[in-house]
Amino acid sequence: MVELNKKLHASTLIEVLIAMVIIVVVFGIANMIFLNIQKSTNTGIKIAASLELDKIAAETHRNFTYMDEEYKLDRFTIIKKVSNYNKAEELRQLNFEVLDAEGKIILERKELIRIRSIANKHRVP
Amino acid sequence: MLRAGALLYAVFLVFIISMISGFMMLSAFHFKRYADDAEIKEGLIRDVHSALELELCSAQPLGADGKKTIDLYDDGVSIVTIDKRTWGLYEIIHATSNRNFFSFSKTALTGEQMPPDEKTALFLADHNNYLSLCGKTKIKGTCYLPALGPRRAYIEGQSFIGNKLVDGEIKTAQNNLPPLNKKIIDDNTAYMNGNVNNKDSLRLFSDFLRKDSIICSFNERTLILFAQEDIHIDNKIISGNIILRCNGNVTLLPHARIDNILIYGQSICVKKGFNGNAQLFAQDSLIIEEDCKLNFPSAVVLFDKKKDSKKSFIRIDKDSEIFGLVLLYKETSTQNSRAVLKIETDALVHGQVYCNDLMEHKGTIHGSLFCEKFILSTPSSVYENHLLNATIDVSELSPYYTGSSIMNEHKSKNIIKWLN
Repeated sequence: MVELNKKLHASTLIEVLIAMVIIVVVFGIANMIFLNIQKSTNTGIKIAASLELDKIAAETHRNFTYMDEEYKLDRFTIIKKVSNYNKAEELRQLNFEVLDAEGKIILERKELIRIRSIANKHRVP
Repeated sequence: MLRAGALLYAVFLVFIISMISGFMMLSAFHFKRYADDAEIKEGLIRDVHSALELELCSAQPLGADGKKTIDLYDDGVSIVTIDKRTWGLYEIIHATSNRNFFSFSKTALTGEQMPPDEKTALFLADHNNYLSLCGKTKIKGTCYLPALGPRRAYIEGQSFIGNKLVDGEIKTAQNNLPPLNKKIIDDNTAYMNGNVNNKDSLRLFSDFLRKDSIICSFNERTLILFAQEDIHIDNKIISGNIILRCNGNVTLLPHARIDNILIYGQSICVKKGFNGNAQLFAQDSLIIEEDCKLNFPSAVVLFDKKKDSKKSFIRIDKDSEIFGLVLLYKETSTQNSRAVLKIETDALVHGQVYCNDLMEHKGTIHGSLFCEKFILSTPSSVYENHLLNATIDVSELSPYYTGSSIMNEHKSKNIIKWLN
């Protein structure tokens, strides 16, 4: 037979409330730290910028478009600059800069290219 | 008094939340680190390639240790170490860049790309005689010929067939050939004489007789295999950063697989049907038998510095093909001591040929030929400065052909192939 008057062990309302407050506070702090880390590193934006930059750099080398250009994309702007290189006449310095919406540099790349490779493109074998 | 039963659950949940949050933060940290590392590695690759470009078009002198360090953009970040050495008739450039415990290096075999406007089909030194052309001889491209110029001739029952003696501009040649690049001669003569660089590892070839393959990476020290006696290479793979130096004669048989190596021997014979890629340096004779193929960038070189009457020669037999360079260098040529470079009928050289003594050309050269004097031996006679059914055509040479700076060092060089 079921005993109806058996005493059940349980927490009081105050205990439960205090426990909930602790859990919410800890969860909030953890969330805040995580979001702060995410925001400060900008890793996602950097990776997206890097991928876009790879695409533009590859296109530049393929089409020999070694000239100053600016690419405006949704989340950032990519600036391409070609300048003389002081250590060799035959070389040019190719600079890429990726700026975010606030105009802050988030990624920068430099490389040297030989201008003869441009002439080679137009040579008839 | 409050009972703390529910707090135990709270502590448990807080622990779980902390664990999950910790993992998420760790993952974010690793994600960021991975992205940063990838960017650094890509930067290293770009720096190494940029340094190689700089080195190819503007070579600065190396330091006493044979190395130099370049700060590409003078920012103290993009620093690349360059290490250069001669590899036969070509040059090896090794570039290394380091940053944040990461390192990237690349090794390239480099040569000289001939400017299109400087391509010469034939340079024949002026010894006050004609260049006599017979049969189906074809010369196409700019030629430097003796002042008397070319003429038609009739020998062995064949007169010249064709509309133009030379299909290209004719300029007057000097009495002597353009001198060879001294550094290339000195570096290779040193190896021929048995001088070993301190950085190389020296082993006896006999230690490797039982091995079926000898492979050495260009990231490691050069392996010099030394042999006192004659050697025959067959059913063996020899590839990479290896110099084979033999005091006797070297024979390469058709089942040997040779790639990138240098071979120095008294005499070298490449047997019928061989196919490979090597730079061969001999002192007495160098024979390429029928149906052989030496792939680009190969070199067939004879350096004769002796003054005795022994006749040294290079012979390239019928149906053989050489992609690269053929060079005969006789230091002192006298009436009794001559060296001859023979290219037989249907043999093909695609690249550069340089011969500072006698040249007997019956085959095809797709590229440039620099020679002191032609001879033509037939069953009935020997003719001087005659060409019979020979072809020299520089227009057949690829505009992207990269050879060796054997005569003069141009500032601008090019990569022939990557070695790692």
